[in-house]
Amino acid sequence: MTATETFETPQARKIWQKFLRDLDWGNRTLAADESRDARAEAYTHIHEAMRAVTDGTEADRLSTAIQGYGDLPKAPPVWKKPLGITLHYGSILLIGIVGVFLLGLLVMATLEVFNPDEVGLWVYTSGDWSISHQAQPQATEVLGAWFIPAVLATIIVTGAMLYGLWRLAIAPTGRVTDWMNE
Amino acid sequence: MAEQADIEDVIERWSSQARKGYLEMLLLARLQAGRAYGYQIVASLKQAPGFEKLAEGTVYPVLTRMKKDGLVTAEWVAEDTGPPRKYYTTTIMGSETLERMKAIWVEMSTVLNTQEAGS
Repeated sequence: MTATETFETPQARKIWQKFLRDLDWGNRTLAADESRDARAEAYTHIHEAMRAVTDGTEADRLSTAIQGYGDLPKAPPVWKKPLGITLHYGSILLIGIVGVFLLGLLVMATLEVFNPDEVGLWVYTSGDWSISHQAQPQATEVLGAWFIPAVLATIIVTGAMLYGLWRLAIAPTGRVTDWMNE
Repeated sequence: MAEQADIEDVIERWSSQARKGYLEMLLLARLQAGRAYGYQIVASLKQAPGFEKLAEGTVYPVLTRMKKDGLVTAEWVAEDTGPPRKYYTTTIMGSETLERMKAIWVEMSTVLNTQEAGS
């Protein structure tokens, strides 16, 4: 059942929309038809309750009627869900890209064992740097035997950060996942 | 030593819980008197002692649950003035449930009396 929800003033319409958002939030576990029914019934109720209030503007009477209806669970801000979705999928992308980079570092650390003279962190005279498995012209390898522990430390620290990000934004129990489902 | 609770707080908490427990029975009792729509039921209930401050919206989830349980049926009826109203009617099962609830109510009263008498 649907009812035509008519309020004359913009103030009343705004209050009503806020009420509906909270009502829908409170009824979010209901099926779509049940939720529509609950909306229609709430509208009928509020309409009847407004009739019983004689003083004040339409917005005042609506506010009084809503007050009598009782506290509804507050719906989360509208930005929360899209932000949650953006952070969730952004995190998946970031973890994928950084994960591939860390895998590359691990391969380089393994190569360092077999080819210590060429694999390493190369710093050019210009100040630029690169990690390479080949000796670089006009560049100096700066880590030497420390290359492997440095790479492993980088993998561990970055991996821990990625794990934290996973727990926050991707895990089913993560806060961002909660935002997505709100 | 734990802080002693105020008697009014204790009574308020207890009576609030009790009212929630009675609500289904009271709704069935109201509907036993004839079909009624949500606002009508709420308005009638709010005139009863202890229910003056009833949050009106709390009645609807209970009515919905009662409908799912088969205790009441609901029907939308168009109105000449204003939006349509959803009328609730008790079913046979609802009437039988009300009788059982009332029997439990009487039983509880008897239990209270026997406990007070110390027997």
